[in-house]
Amino acid sequence: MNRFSSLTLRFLLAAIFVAPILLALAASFRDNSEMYRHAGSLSFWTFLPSEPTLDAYRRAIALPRLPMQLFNTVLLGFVMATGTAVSSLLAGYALSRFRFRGREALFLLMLFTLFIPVDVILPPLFFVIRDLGLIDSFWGLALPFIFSPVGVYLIRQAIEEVPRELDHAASLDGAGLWEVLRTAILPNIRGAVIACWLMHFVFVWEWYLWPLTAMRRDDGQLAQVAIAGLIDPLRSTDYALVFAAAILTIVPAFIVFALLQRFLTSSQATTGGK
Amino acid sequence: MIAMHKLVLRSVTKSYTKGTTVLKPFDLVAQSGELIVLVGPSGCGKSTLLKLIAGLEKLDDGQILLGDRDITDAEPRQRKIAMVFQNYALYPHLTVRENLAYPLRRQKLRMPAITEKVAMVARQLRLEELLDRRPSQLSGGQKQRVAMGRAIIREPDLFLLDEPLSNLDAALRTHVRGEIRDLQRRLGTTMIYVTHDQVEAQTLADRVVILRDGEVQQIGPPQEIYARPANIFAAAFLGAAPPNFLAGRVINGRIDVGQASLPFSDLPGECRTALAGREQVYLGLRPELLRAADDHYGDHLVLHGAVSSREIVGNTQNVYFRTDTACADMTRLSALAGRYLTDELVWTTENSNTGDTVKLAIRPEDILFFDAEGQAIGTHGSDTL
Amino acid sequence: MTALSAQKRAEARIGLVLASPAILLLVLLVVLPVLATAGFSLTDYRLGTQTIGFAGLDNYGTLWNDPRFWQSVGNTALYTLIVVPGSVGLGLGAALLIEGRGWLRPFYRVAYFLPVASTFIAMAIVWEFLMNPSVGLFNQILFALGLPGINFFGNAQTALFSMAAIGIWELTGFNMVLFMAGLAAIPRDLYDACAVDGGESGWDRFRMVTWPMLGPTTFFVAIITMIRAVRVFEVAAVITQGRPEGATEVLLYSIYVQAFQYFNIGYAAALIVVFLVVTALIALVQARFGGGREASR
Repeated sequence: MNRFSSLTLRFLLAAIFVAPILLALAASFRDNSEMYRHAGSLSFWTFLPSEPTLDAYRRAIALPRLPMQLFNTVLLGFVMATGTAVSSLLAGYALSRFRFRGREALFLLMLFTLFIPVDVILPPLFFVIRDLGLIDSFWGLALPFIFSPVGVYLIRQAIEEVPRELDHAASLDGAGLWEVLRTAILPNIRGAVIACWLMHFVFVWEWYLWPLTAMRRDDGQLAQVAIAGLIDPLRSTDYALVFAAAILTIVPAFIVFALLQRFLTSSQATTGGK
Repeated sequence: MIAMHKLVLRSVTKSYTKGTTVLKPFDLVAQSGELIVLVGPSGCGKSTLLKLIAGLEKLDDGQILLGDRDITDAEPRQRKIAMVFQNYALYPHLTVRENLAYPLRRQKLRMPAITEKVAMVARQLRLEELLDRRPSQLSGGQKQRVAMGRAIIREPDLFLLDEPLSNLDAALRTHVRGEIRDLQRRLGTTMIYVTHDQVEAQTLADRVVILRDGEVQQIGPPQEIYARPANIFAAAFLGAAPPNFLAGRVINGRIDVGQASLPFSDLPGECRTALAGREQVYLGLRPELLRAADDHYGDHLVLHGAVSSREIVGNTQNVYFRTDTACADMTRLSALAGRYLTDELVWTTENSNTGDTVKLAIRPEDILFFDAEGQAIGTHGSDTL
Repeated sequence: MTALSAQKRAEARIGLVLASPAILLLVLLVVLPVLATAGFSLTDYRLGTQTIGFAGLDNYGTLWNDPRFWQSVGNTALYTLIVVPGSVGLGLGAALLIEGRGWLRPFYRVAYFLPVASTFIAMAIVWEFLMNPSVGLFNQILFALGLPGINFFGNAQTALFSMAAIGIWELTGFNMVLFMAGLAAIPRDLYDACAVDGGESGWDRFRMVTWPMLGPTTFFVAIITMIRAVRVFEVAAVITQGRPEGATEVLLYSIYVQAFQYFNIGYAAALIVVFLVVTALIALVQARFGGGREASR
């Protein structure tokens, strides 16, 4: 494959993946009356707004609850990512470095739950959270997902790659168990921890069914769920507004990802081994 | 200031699950300032012993004393023991300076004191130029020096070294070996040094401990073990090459080795009494103690052989030969020696022009005698503690 | 001796303390709900009613005889079977294409990643636009090329595949990011060794070095993708509501409808149990083929 065709292929493939988002971006600058005007035929204006306007963004920001809901999504992202990273770090450390009764069983259970999509057990989960009195609360939303078998697996594998001699050296050098974790292990699995953090941060943006179920207060709702509520199949939907709100929702995740993405390719960031 | 810290191990025992014993009850007293080398083939339990002393593994039974402290149940960090690991275990995310400072920072020392000590150790080990590098930017020898530096910086009561030279190339190994010896002499700190290399054992040790399958074979100064090994295993382990083993039969006040024969009267007195009344014995002939025989070697054991191959190592030569003189059961011998032995014999000589046949002699007092179980006869292994 | 076992106990205690948040949450949020679900599946419980009656295996019997259930299982399985290889393969391909290409790398990474963070509901609308049979962009392009259009979501034959295409779009980006990390960890000298051993083409390099070395990464990516694929829900809920003729009715959507629209908790629970069993089976198959070794290391 020569240089030019590989360049083209790379660019084309990437373009296909961004295209829907770019179309949404373009549509967010349109006026609703313009939305379908060019749809019937292929032209330049099929892709670009002919009279770009920020009107939809003005309306989106003016939505009484959207800023709050956007804040909820971002805050939940931070809480989830941090909670998952911490609980995974502790459990991964325990699973990799300590011998205790039930360790094997715990790891097997963890591997199995790796395969259980949490959404599937939503109804019983709903009862658990309800009985804890956490329905309609932020912590009710967060609690079921603050632990992630994927995160534990990721971090355990990363710790396995750190030579045990490093722990041994540190403990002979006077480090206690916490200090071993903090000063000898953690700096060497930084990539994996950041990957775990980032992964669970962006996963919050995929949430839909759980917040729909467990959060019935409007101002406590997540942005992406609230935006879905703007779509009304029975009446005409304000599509420009929906797209503007959606783009606004992407922005925080986009920024955080753009800042942290380079850590994902640091060599030990993945995934069950070298 | 020389710290006085004697290490005492009393009946230290260790087994992992499934009932496999890693270490049979082990006793050792390392005098203050002594350098003890633990040798043995891989899996003999020497590294486990080191980890037990360091507190990285828990012993099943027994007692460990360091100076006047009982450290049997102490946490590793409370033991005041420093260890140098085979792969150095330098913290990859820290610079050399930070690696050296790490143990001091754990002791909550003040920053000026840390800086001063790091500078001192860096000067001692010629690390000044490297202080701001990370381990990944160092050569093997440099890493080794940093590992040593991290060990000495907090002035421990005991050094543990786990095969510290095995990742270095041969030339460097000799050099660093000397440095370690000098450093240990200068600091006067008790040191336990684990290796599988008999050269390191011979050149470094005040006393050597030979281990096999978790069991002590012999403890003693290297020269003494070389001269009077307690059994075939110890004889084969210490020395550039294992001795040539031959089977001998005791008959009427003499030992027949194939066609050759050795009257009791030529043997040292202690041997004579110990050999009397036995039938089957093994003889061990160190390759470097064989001499080209001429008529003057009347009382020596003389072997005739046909040369099969040679190997030149500097100014010495290893001459491999076969003799019709009676070779022992090599399978049995290999098991006793813990290594693969063939019926090919070897002669190490500085003589460069040797013919296709050899006639070799050895002084009777240089011959090692072993019984059918591989235990030394006549010479008592220095198994004092 | 007691001191010794005390030390071992201390180690065990610390291990348990460290693992306890994980264990607690695992039990509270996975084990308990799964057990509760299994329990509910044997009852006729409906949300809002006061009584719970034991129903034995009635729910399972109903399931067994419900053709829509089988359709839903089949759809989910087919969807997963398309989306997992599709998005894993594309993710790997994209990672290989981009790997080591200097300063544009962050740009590509962000491009592929955007679908992950995009508000999926809004994106579903974009896709609906794009796949509109008369005015959608895709068909416009097909018409312009003189080809007949496709009735993406209107036709029972194409609806599930259209949904799968959207799924692949959504999941590929993250897989690519994970693969890039895996690729970065492959030691360079393995490629040199491969070249010395006569591996000439890019295909040789891939077959001899990249693919085997990526084994654990591929396993991990496949698992993550499967978990995310199998819970496909949004497109069915927003665009199709299972239409046409149940062609896009997927399990999670059925569960949702039964539990939260009809409040048939007992019946929904039976659906969930079946779902978990199916997932476990897929997981086992995958672990067998994909690398149980890596997983249990």
